[in-house]
Amino acid sequence: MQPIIPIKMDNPAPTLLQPAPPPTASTKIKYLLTGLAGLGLWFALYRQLHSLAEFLAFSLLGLKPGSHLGEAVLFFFYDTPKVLMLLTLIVFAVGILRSFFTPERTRKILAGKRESVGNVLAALLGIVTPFCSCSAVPLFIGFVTAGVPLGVTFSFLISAPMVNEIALVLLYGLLGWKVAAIYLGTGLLIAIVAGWTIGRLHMENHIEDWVREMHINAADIPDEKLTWADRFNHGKMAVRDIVGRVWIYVVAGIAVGAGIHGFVPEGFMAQIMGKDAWWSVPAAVVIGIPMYSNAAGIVPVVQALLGKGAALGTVLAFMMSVIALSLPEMVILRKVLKPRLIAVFIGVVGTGIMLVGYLFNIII
Amino acid sequence: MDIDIKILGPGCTKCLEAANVVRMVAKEHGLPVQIEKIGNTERIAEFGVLLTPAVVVDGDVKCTGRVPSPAEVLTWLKKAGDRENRPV
Repeated sequence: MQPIIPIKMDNPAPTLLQPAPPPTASTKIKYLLTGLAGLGLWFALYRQLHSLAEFLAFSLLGLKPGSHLGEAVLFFFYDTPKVLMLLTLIVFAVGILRSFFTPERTRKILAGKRESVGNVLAALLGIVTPFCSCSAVPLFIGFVTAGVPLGVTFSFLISAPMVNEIALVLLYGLLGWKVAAIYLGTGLLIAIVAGWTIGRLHMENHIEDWVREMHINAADIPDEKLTWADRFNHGKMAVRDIVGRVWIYVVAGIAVGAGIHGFVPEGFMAQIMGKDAWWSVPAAVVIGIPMYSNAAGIVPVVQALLGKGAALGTVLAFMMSVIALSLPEMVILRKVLKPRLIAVFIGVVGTGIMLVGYLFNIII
Repeated sequence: MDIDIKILGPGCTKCLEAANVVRMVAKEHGLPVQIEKIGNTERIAEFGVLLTPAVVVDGDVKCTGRVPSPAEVLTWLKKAGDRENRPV
């Protein structure tokens, strides 16, 4: 191995490492003004969406207000741009926010924390730490070998995919802030309690042996010193990456939702996904596990189901199961976890989701 | 001697992009590089990397979780090239 030459970002020599000019007051103001102008434009456009959709559906296409087709088309023309605009704004903002958090920093915060406090912190950090399920294994190994307790690591691994900005934006845009808040709250609760439970079960010996025998030195990655220009760039990249990837699911989901909205009779779902069918919650969880979709595709369908009489608890349980418990992720995690720990993971998280489903069916 | 580059990642599109950026920069500036792609989980973990893709130059992890910009890659390669010529 070559000797590691520490890169000190604050000494004057390697200025070529930072192509962007140092943040002076004027560049900061420039970014602030650009941001504000963009936000103003965004709001002006956002408020016109409904009249624009009505114009398209009723004046331009000549559909009759109140007709099946007219309502379905209006729904599509209004909700698609609305959700995409919300998504762009929030993904940009979260992209900037995430430039302040790295998995390395999160690990440093969590290493050696006591369990209960650690579980809460891990679930919260799961929302803001950049994470992609393809990195689940290196992340798991990195956390566990650095002394982050197993249960705390699980709290992070449950919260990171389940409670994310895409799910929250879509729930807010299509179902209102109350449902979004319920999802945020219960999602965090499941991550905290499930992680804590797994920690209590002391299953450290069900991690694959080669992981436990590993001695790795945490990579000495120089902490990047980011300028505001860099952070704006992070936001832009996040929009290009995430919105570019999920817009097609959003459009397809809303199209299916629009179909259900306009054509499926009112109360149709009440029998199979209503409150009175006790078996519908566990069924929703079980059906959700092999299904693999992101929040973007599932929320518009969820909204349409709710409108036709499905119970909120059942639908939330279905959505959480689809997002948080996915077969591909289990296959990836199998590399580092023995089958028993995987079974416990599915069991604990699945039970948590089911309890949330029943709870909301009872209180709402 | 060629500069030793390792791209860590299971083979997602971002990992391919990261490898392409390195290859492009090296070609453009005539720097000799040897690029190795590592997709094996155990080996990725050994580098202490938490997010993929990651770029490793001469054994040092340079960036994780993102595709580096060509400007960044150039500074790493130049630095590594200098080290080759003048022993530290």
